[in-house]
Amino acid sequence: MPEFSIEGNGRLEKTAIYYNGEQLDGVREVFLNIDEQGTFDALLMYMGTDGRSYTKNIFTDYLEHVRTEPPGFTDEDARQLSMLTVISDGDLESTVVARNKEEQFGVVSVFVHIKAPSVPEGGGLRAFFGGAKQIPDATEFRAEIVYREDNGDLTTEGVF
Amino acid sequence: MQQLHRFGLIAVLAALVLMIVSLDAFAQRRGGGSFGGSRGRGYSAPRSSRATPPRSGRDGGASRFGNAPTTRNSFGGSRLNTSGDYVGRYGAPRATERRTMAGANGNTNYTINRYGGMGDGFMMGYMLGSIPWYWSMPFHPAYYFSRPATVVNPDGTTAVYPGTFDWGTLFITLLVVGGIVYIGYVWLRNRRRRMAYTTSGTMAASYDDDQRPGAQSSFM
Repeated sequence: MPEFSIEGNGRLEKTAIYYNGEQLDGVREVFLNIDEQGTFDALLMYMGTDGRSYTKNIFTDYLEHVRTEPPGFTDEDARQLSMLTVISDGDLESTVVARNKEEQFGVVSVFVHIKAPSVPEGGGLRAFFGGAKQIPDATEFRAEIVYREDNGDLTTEGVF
Repeated sequence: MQQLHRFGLIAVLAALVLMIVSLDAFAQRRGGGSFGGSRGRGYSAPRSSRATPPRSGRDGGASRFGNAPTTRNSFGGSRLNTSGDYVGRYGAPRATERRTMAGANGNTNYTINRYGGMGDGFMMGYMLGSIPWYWSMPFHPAYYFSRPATVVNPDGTTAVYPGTFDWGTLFITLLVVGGIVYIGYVWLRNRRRRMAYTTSGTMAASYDDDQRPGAQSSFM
């Protein structure tokens, strides 16, 4: 089953994405929304080796033209970072969530939305002649897990 | 989307280039680009040679052309009503010579008026019947000269005058070529900006530096 990991400290500058152990490069956006009600959204947007933008389902699609790079964090770095791992084949029943390599239980939902800021937007003649302005796209960095405690209460924890 | 944009740009450029080439090719076809093509009906042999254009007032009448064709021009250039139209503007020719040239419908007598200069040289080129392709290209001076002007004399001969510099062609060409150059410049500039943004721009560099192996962020 595909293994998807996010390692970081809560800042985009120090957030590495791994797919089956390989560090990805050129990632624009990660969106994970999995809950016990059956919601299962796992999307990855990245710039491929061919310069095109791709949006793929992390666990069911083949990540074509995905760029990879050597691991950027040393073991020492890793000790100061948090890692969220999701192992799944796209089916909720066989989905495992781990934090810092520890399998999690009682998970109600996982929500991760990490988005790099804008790239130049616009197209057509106006953009061609430089008339289109960049549309700023704010950085999004949310990663939360909701747990159900033994007493039935729900607890929300930030991942990073 | 980017590919579509690129394809559109190439299509626009190709259309502009084709427009220039095809307009000129059309002009060449219209004029035959050559001497000696079919004129519809033949001329009678000239009875006299007149090197100088007629000056009498009768020259302006339609009847003075006799049986000369009125619908087709051998060169594709402008046909003057009288030689005086040309001489009045550019003066008397430096030299005049008569030539008989064979065409599809027999021999035709021409009175060639020479004024010297480039237009004169191009006129002789046109009269040879076949012009090289690069005369139709903006980088060749012939492109900016009109085709030779002709006048059918009352005696049946055809007076030929050299083409003149065409400022309109120069202006249009500068406009089109300048436009293409400008589009290319803007495209390159925007492409460079996009490249700078995605590879070494301040925002991209802060997250991901491709020069450094093992970047600490997967995001760009």
